[in-house]
Amino acid sequence: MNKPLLDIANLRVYFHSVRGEYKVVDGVNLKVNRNEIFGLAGESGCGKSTVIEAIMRLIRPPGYIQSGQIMFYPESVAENTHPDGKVRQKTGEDTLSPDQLANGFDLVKLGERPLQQIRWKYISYVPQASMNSLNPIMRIGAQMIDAMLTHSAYTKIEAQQRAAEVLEIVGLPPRVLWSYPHELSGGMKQRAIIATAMTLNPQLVIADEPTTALDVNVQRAILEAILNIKQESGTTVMFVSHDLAVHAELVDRLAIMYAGKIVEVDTVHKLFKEPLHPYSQRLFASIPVLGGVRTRQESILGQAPDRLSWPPGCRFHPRCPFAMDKCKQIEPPLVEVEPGHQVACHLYYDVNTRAINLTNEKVQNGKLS
Amino acid sequence: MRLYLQFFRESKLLAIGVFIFLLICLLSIIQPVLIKGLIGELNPMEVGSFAIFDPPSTAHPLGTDRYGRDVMALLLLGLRYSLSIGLLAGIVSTFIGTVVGLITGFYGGWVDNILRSATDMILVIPTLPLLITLSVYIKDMDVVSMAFLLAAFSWPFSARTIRAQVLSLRERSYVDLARASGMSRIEIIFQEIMPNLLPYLGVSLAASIVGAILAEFGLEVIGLGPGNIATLGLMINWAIGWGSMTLGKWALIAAPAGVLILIFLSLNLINLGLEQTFNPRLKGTTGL
Amino acid sequence: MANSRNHFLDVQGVSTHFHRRQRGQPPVIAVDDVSFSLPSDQATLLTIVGESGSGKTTLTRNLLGLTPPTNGNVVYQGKDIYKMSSEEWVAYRREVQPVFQDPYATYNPFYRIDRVLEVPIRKFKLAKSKDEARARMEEALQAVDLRPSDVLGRYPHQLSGGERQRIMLARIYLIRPKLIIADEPLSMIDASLRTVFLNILLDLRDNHGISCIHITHNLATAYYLGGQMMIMCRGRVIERGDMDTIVTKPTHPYTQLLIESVPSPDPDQRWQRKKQEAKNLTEIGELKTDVNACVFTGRCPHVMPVCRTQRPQFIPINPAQESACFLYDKAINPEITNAAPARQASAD
Repeated sequence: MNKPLLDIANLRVYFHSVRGEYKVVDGVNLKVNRNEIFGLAGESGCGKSTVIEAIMRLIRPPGYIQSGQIMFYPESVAENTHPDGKVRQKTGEDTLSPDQLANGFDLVKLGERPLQQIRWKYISYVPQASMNSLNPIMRIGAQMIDAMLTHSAYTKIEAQQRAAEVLEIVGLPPRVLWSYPHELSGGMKQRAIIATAMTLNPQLVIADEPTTALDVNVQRAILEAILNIKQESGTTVMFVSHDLAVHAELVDRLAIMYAGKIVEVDTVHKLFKEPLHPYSQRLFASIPVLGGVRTRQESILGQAPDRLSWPPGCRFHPRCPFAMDKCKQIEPPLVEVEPGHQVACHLYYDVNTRAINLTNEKVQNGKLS
Repeated sequence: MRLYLQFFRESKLLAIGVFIFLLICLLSIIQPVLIKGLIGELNPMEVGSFAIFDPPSTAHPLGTDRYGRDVMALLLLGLRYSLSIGLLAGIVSTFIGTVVGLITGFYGGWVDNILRSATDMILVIPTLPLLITLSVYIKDMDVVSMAFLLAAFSWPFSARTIRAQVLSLRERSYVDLARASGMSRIEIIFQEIMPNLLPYLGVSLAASIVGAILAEFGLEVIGLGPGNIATLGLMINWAIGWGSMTLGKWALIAAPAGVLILIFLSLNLINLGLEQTFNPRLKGTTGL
Repeated sequence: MANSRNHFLDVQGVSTHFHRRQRGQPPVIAVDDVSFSLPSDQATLLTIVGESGSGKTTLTRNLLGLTPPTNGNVVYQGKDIYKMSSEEWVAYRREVQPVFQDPYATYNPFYRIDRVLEVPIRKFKLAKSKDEARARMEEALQAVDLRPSDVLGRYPHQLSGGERQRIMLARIYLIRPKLIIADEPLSMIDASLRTVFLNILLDLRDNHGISCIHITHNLATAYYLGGQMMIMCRGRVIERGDMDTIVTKPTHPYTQLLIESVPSPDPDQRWQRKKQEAKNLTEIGELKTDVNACVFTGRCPHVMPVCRTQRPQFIPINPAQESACFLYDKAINPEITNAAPARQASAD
């Protein structure tokens, strides 16, 4: 049980274009553990949505996975059972070999048919603004049941039961099953989509910006729904958002992404108290706090770099107040400087001596107060 | 200008369609020269110029018809008439439709209600029977009258499309910004909304032209159009009357039909091409 | 109308109804009897907070002169904007400018972005010659940290969202209105640009005396501006006053719910979760509105019988705060419940 559920190693996703290669994801390493809510944060353009699309193998030309591994270690079948005790896979269609199920497999190398097995049953995906992808002329319940019948061996009755169950998990009343999408508000639709993602009891649910642009009350309902998913079904959730306050309310561990790479990973409590990476520090310092002391802030210096040509060395060096000479030449590796805490910055790890240095005086300023 | 050239690069269909259509138009413009080249100073309509039912040869690339006329020459003449009627009707129809669509779409209110009722009334009228009836009474129709007649019944189609677009366009934020910048309503109609209508205008125009030519062709084929001009439809009417198929003179039907098909093909390609280039852009309002 | 002259902007009992498609149904009341005013003697920052369905967008359109209200008046410097002559109207247009939410939709894709700056110059006669116009455009762009050579001559789709929204701000600089009405200006731009944007708004108030009405659903970001605040729910204003006071001591139950639902960036202080909560999270949008009742009865944890039969009026809580809630009406509720401070679970 110590194996992570998802282990991404050195993932690179590039996009062809007339002007060159857009290196949108350029060497991402991260692990998602079982039964946790894992948060992925970063500003727009950092590549976080592309990482998710790569996991789901939804990258279309001109994008392509240039290199890297996405190892998925599903729990053994005995652990992943429907609450009524029986496993529900469509007979004859499970093209995952016992070896794959036992030892995990690389999602990048999987063909289209096995991938169809994976989607919905093992990994579910709730894309951005997915509430708009509901069929306007079908009732919600019908759509959910439809999806279940296509991807599993559930009978119609079982599917109806399961639909009612998952709606309860996300906090929607049963009448939603018989409603049309236009009769529901945006937040309810979003929760209905999340419920649909849960119907086949997947081991991993990935939600990409599910609360963006939604009202605060609605956002809260959705976040509570996601928490219920984890608590009641033991599902692992990967949550992507640019809003750090939302991560603070929801996730267990958090990764910060910048310019196509992960720059820091830690438990959310520690990360908010003591971010190490200068970018993380700036990011946390600029979170709007309701009711806090009001001080004039200056924005993060400069603008995000051009995706066609990342700066050499550390990608943050042009905007970093602590940049040293080596930052302009050598890319800092993502290194575990404390148990569970990884950071990619020369301030904390010397590439030559391999020494870890957590008490760097330069970094006393800029911490979250 | 560069913007327009970009369109052709984006849609091959558009490029092909425009090319064929322009070629056809070119032919119809230089048609007097071509006719002269074929048959000298003779009037292509004149009976008995040549031998009857000659098969295709170098002198007469498409042969001759029952009355001894050069088919190719007739074809070129017919092409010009059909095309002129179509173009004129199409342009007039689209023009009226656009003006009506703009006014009703933008202003709404009682103007909208009145004009929309008028539009609906005309749409309901069955055009073909009406045209048939009219053509019985108006014996000597020339190109222009025919064109205006057709336009009078087809403008509602473009009016509807344009109105629908205007209704959606006037809700755009940039219209609000223009109001906030002090622009008057008329200025907004012509400067903000109209440019974004161009793709729809193009499509409407192509569709109107097709519609007009088709309507005119329909009348001709059953012999109800003006009998004094040799339009393509009329040529087919003659050919059928002479029993060309049974006689094996297939060129007499195939040639005018072929030209018509080519005209429709090119116009429809233009339509498709325009939709191809503009649709993603029309639908997208956010994003980089 | 008599003391309107002291007020720069006076919104008097504005209501806006929209008729439904089917006859026989009551109209949708988007804005329900909203009144407030901005003083003339000092530049003010007023934040109007409301969720979707609160009527804030319709109210914005009422204020900008884009949608006439069904009842009530919007009075600018003593004159009703919907009854102005055309010169007065042009002056109003010049002095009250919007900033919209979507930094792409506000540009006509057919034209270059320069047009967005050129049209106001032309219409409001901000420059006497083409050279002067160009100079003013460049000055405005530089004021928002854009290099004119980078953006002038480009089409909207060639620029980033951040650049486009900055150009909108440059347009404001150019026009120097007396009042900016900004409708969700931050929701579609990056975090770093938000700070820039808000700083510019503060700057405009402090150094140029330009007031701003900021309409948003995101209270956390709006907090940075401070100033006055109005909370809207289903078309009505339910609490108003000084932002700091309201945020630290919200009185109306809806305000309390709103503030409590704002995610707090402190993982150690998470929402107290009760399992039953998830099931009862009826969204505000689902509530039915009755003209003679409080809008929040469907979800209020402190609802009383009077709330369902009468519409609450504003009750002053302290000099900086007013609340439209019967809880604070001494006649109905002699022992006034004190406002629960934000960030604590409510007592049910």
